[in-house]
Amino acid sequence: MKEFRKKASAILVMIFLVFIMLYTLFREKGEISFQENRKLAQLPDLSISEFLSGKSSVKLMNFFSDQIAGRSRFIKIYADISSGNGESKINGVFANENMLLNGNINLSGISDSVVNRVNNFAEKYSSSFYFIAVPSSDGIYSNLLPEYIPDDFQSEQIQNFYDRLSPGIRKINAFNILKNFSDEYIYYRTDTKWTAYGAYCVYRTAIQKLGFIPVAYDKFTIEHVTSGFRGNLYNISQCDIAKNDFIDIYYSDSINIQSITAYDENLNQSSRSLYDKSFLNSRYMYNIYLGEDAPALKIKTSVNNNKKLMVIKDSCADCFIPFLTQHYSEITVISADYSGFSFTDYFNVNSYEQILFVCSAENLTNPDMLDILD
Amino acid sequence: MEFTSVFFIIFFLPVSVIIYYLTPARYKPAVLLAISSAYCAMISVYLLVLVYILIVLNYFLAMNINKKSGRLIYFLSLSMNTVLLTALKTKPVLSLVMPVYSQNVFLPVCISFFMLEFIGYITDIYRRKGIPEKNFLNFALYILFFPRFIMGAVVPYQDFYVFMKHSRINLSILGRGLIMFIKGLAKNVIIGNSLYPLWETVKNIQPEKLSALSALLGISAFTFSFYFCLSGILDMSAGISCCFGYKIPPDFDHPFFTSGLSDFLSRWHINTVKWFREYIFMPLEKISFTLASVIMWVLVGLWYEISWNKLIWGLITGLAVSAEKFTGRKNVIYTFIVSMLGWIFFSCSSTEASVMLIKSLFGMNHGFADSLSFYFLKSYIVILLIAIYTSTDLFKNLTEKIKDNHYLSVPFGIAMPFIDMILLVISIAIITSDGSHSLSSMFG
Repeated sequence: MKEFRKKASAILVMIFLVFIMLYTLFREKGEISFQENRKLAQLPDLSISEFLSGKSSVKLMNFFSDQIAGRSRFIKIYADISSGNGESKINGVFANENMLLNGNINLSGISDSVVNRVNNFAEKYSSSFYFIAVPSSDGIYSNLLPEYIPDDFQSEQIQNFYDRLSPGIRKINAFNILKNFSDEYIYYRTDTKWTAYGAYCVYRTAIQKLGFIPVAYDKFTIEHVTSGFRGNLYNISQCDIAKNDFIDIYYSDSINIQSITAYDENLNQSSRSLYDKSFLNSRYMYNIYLGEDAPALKIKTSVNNNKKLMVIKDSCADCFIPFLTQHYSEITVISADYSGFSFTDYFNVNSYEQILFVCSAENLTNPDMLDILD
Repeated sequence: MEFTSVFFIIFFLPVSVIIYYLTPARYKPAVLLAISSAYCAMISVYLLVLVYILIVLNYFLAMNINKKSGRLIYFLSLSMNTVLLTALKTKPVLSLVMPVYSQNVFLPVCISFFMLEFIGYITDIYRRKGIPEKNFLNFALYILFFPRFIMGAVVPYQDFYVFMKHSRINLSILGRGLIMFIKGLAKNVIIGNSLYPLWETVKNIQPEKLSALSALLGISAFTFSFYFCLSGILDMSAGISCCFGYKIPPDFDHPFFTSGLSDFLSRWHINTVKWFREYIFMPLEKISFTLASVIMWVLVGLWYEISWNKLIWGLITGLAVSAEKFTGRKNVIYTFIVSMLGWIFFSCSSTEASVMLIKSLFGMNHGFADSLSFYFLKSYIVILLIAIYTSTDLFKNLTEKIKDNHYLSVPFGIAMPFIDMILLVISIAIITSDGSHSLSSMFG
């Protein structure tokens, strides 16, 4: 029997390994993993210096790891095993029965480099400055995380950040607002970002600080565009434990969007709409808000007050912007993800009475965040 | 290139096995050397050049040790190898030889192994326990043999020569090797990988908030994670060697919960400890057992990593072994306490952190238990119990009984190939998704 086992194992294992190897080598290689929402490593180019140093073999190993046949199945197997093992943590994502939460918490706080960038920028211009640091889902629902992650860690990070900003910059405490609504659907179950309703809850307070009366909730027409959204935490963990998310979009009958112009890094222009439903058929459903990310957008509305707002934001603000269109004739949206785009060369910052920052608190812990202001 | 990489498992291993099995017998050693050289080159061509230079130097020096001025040649060779062993463990020198991997503490450990083999080889010739190998290919293969290149096992050249001469391959031997490889892979990736996050979490908790139970669970997680990762890799090494017909002896033999400290250590990293016993302990034992024990274990600690904590681990272990010998008593509790204390220093990055962990372990920081420690217990108890059970003789005896049982051996024999496949698929799934917490993260 021992001999049978050895021979059977040899045959089964070698057939399996050779099959996986040949299938991996000869199948069509993917460039992007839609499940994980990232680019996959490609076959490295031959470079003598990289070959000598061993870098080529590292790239080759990354290529095999990313392109292995059946990769998505292997990831699924891992997700299924991990959710019932140890702390139910899969690739750094905690799998709670109700929602997925980011477990790779950065407790180090928001660095001085980010604070200095914002302060220096605010000093240069005569506009009024406002800041909304948007907590992530793990910040609001930290009570669902293991005890060794301090409760309200993000509240402290945000408060500490606000304390270091210039007194002239008006701060909006999104954390407390969202915490009060934490029983409602204010965060996606499979993403770190807030929902459009969560954005609305903060909008109501923020717009008052900006000098306007918020539009009541019942004045919006809410369209429920999909119940099949799976966000960044699902992409990382591939864990099915939490239900899919809804995406809602908010329309107003009173105010129309006249035009939305997107600018790329070379200032080429293209037309956009507030909500691009074509993304509902893609893996990037969240891009329904404002379409694909662009360095700058200029939104013109039918609001007749000639007021202009500049919003400097990251992707979490995309579902927040539509609420602002109720109050301004023109909104220029600058994406903080394009550090090479010198937006101050193309947009006269002083011509905007108000500048609003809307950034995720999680992204603010990256020391390079908002380097677009440099 | 680690054994736990997707590239190695699905490409390098099957391709090298197929090439070797299709090669005519007379060319097999040369082909194996070529495959091993390719393996080393994939880590770094500079490393391959360095290894060949050292092979050539030691080959020629060994040829002359038994001639006139042999003592001078021996000490010259010994000094060269010892200095290089020390220098190559430092980051500035390492970054020249292994530019990509110098930040990864794990892969450079391979240098520690082949340097030990050079030192052992020339010492055996000097002592006339062996004769110089005239066949350069055989000697080169001894050093470069890729299944042993990263993590050993460290074996004397005379033993390797016997493995080489008696190597034979067939389907059954291939199967045996692959079974050992999968077993090692599963130990490393499934059990070792599952426990390590608990240690990572515990070590990042502020000491003032760490209860005794949490500290105990954390250090246990480190201990068993380290054991399963290290023994897993060595099982993989032995398994791959077996695939090529080389029967390398095992390096671990279910060391935990043995009756005494010396029993535990005799089953831990067997071949490497044997090297230190042969070349460090035995010459010094004539002076003093305690001195020999302390120096040997301190050097073992420093050989793992040059740090104060590894030195203290070696000191504790050497003194404890000596104390056990002089009292003549073997005690499970004594072994548990001493090894726990040793592991605390082994696992922490600084003596300060070690002292704080000891204080936590005695409940001096945050009491004996709290809700966090019960959370850890609830989350990890199953995998901890599996780890404890499978690392002892109990598990070994159970598997032997099943194999020898007339009624169970047949279904066991039929089921096991499929269980091997399941373990392989699960291991690949973990590696593909999450990577593997290789030993590098335990040293850095």
